[in-house]
Amino acid sequence: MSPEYDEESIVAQLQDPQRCREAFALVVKHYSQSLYWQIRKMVISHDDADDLLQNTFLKAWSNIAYFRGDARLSTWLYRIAVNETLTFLTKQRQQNNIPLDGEDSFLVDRLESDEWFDGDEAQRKLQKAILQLPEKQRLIFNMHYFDEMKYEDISQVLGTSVGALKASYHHAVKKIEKFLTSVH
Amino acid sequence: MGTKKDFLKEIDRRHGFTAPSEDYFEQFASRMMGQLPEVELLHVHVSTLWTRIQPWIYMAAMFVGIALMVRIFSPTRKSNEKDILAEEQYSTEYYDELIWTSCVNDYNMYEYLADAYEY
Repeated sequence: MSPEYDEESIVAQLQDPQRCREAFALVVKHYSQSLYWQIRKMVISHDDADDLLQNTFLKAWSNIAYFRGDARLSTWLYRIAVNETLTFLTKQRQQNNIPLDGEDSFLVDRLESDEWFDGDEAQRKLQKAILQLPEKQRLIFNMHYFDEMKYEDISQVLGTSVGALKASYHHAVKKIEKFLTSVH
Repeated sequence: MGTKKDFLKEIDRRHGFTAPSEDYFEQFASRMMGQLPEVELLHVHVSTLWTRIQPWIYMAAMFVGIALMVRIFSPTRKSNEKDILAEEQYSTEYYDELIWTSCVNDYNMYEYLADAYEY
């Protein structure tokens, strides 16, 4: 992440129509990686993640006038990315005729055929285990386990209480461990 | 729980996904900036005093309008007006002024009333 990035001054520049575009370029540069990985872990396919990342920044750009700095910029962007991702996955489920409480088997197929996955066998199994989880639990697990986000920050993004997040993460770990022991 | 946690820790804490190229994120940033619409430069909402008080002014005007309409079309008001007119019709001040301005004195008035009783 770029060392010259100063969120406070960036947010001030975003409110200034003359410097808004320049500031937004820094925002894209600063957040594209973390947002990309967040989306990618959810949708598996690089092409879908790329599209969703573009949509996230386009939405952020078209609504930048409404961003008043009440929340952190990262929280706001994560929230847009999460909404985009969940909407996309809902559409994918509908296209694949998967019921709301069904497993995202199409994502497991994508993982198997993903040419941009270079993890070892254990990591592949872990990803398959994560794909068994419900979407929101998957999000929570990814954010806390891989990105090491604090529960307080996840709570801001997902609008869920810290207690509920801890419980959800705990259940997710249990399910993953159960899955991993069963395939061992 | 402890042993199960260790079980997860055995796996490298990497997600295993990779980007298609090393400079993917640099390319993405420039591609993204090229896609941003120019005109979207956004109607920042300038909130003036007038725009803030406008709804209150409209609401106040509406209430004043309703109050006036009630006053004008209210049946109680009409009867009040009639009462006032009736009072004015029979007030002595009205007759005094009428007599004064029409050059009719008291004698003429008594004469007129006496004639009226004769018939």
